[in-house]
Amino acid sequence: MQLEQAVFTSAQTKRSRGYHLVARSPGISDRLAEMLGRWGPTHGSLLEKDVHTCCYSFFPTLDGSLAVARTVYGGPEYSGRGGLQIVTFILTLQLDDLSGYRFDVLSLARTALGLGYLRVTDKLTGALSPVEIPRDAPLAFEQRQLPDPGADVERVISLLERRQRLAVLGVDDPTTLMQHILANMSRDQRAQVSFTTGLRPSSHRTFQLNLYPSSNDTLARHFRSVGIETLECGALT
Amino acid sequence: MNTTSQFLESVKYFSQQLVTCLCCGNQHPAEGDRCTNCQAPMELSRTMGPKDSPPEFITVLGASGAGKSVYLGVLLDLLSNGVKGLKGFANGAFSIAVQQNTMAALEQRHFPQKTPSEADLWNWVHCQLAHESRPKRVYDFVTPDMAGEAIAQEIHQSGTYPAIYNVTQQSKGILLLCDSQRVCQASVDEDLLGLTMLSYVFALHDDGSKKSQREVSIAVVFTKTDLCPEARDDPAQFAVNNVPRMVQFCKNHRGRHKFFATSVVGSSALMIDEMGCETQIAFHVEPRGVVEPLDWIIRGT
Repeated sequence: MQLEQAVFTSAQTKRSRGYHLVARSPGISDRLAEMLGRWGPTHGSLLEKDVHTCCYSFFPTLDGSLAVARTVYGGPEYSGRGGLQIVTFILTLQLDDLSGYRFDVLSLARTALGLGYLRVTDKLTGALSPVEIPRDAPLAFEQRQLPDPGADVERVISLLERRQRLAVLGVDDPTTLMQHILANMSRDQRAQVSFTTGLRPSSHRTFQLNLYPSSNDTLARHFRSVGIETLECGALT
Repeated sequence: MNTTSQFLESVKYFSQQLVTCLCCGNQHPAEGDRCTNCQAPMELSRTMGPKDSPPEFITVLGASGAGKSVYLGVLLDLLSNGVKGLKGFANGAFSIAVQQNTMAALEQRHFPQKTPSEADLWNWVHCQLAHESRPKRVYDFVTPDMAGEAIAQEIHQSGTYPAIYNVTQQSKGILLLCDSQRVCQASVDEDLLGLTMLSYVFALHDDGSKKSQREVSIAVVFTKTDLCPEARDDPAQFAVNNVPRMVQFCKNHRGRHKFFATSVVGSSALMIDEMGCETQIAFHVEPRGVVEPLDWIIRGT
């Protein structure tokens, strides 16, 4: 099946400079491109400073469509102010596209990654082609093969079922925890929960579930001020 | 008399008190952090709300990399010490952050990091200014330190960033920053970009009357002129030579306009670290022409 893709990062292009949607496939409409441009994570959006940091996000876009994004550090930021650019690779999809992946968006993302998408390449800007990925997941991961999530997954799921927005702080491996959460949810629930495994909180990006490796008072205070319940990962073991 | 129930009633009263956002006019609970519409800090509205005279919004616009954050930070630092008869004090912790971040970076011979596009991460400046010739006339200088990409998005689709829309609409003065080096290298692109920003400003101020056009003063400020002597020596002629469309547009409108040149460092160089990251290094801080645009705007209000 074909999925549309886009790249959001800081670059100097004919269209703009700084953080903007630098590349997209033809199926990304102007309206969707504007929405992704407003959503896109900019400077400082990855809370972890490790250059190997990788963060997944999943969120609804327009008219019932969905998006899965992988955010990483890229090359040097072009403007001479130091630091690395933050690069976000986005795939847009419909709910039906997830059926072959048991509605596990991380399984779809892993497949795309294995096929060479969602990765930093030498050409980030310009026109892109749609992504071709198998309709059904080529590999099925058993939950028991996953590392220990380090948190009470059932408790997180029960809070999510109450439609409560939630932030879990101090998670050793947010992606692994998210894999466990998805594996323990019903199929109907999986595609209903928007999440991020490490993007800085912002009113431009509202996720139901926020997982962070770091834990500090500032982060906790911010979440509480916008009505998001915070939990320390240690309290969930 | 039941003092506990009275206390609870008073708490309920205060917790229901609403504050009107100074930027967009939305009403919010008094204890909120930021306006949920425009992301302006509620502290700004709480401290300025009760006054009789409305604040003087002065908007700093410019493309990504034009030098808005550096300009604002150095400006605040100069004003806090008093310069050319102007003295000002940053009001509020959110305001001091702009000055602090810039001066701390320059002390380390770096420039501050890129401003994020997310409006809820912007620092805002609120500075109370007075000129020694008119000490009783106090100006509240208010502006967000905005990301250039956000400004570009707002211009492309008005209303994307309510803070930019509302502050620009209410501003009596606009500081439009243009990177003089980029103007030299890609003058047509920079001219058209500047023209787009000017068009946006005047569209927000134009109610069809001649008076509305006169009400906004535009200071076009060429930045980084330590690297562009042509701009530094005669900014007006530099503008005529390199950004003629902007010059003509300003002339066609009845509002005040003037071209300025500014720089904050005496000299700088490009450093490349072991990861290939390019960083501009400031050898020494030597502000030139930083206060003049603001002084000119204030004198016209």
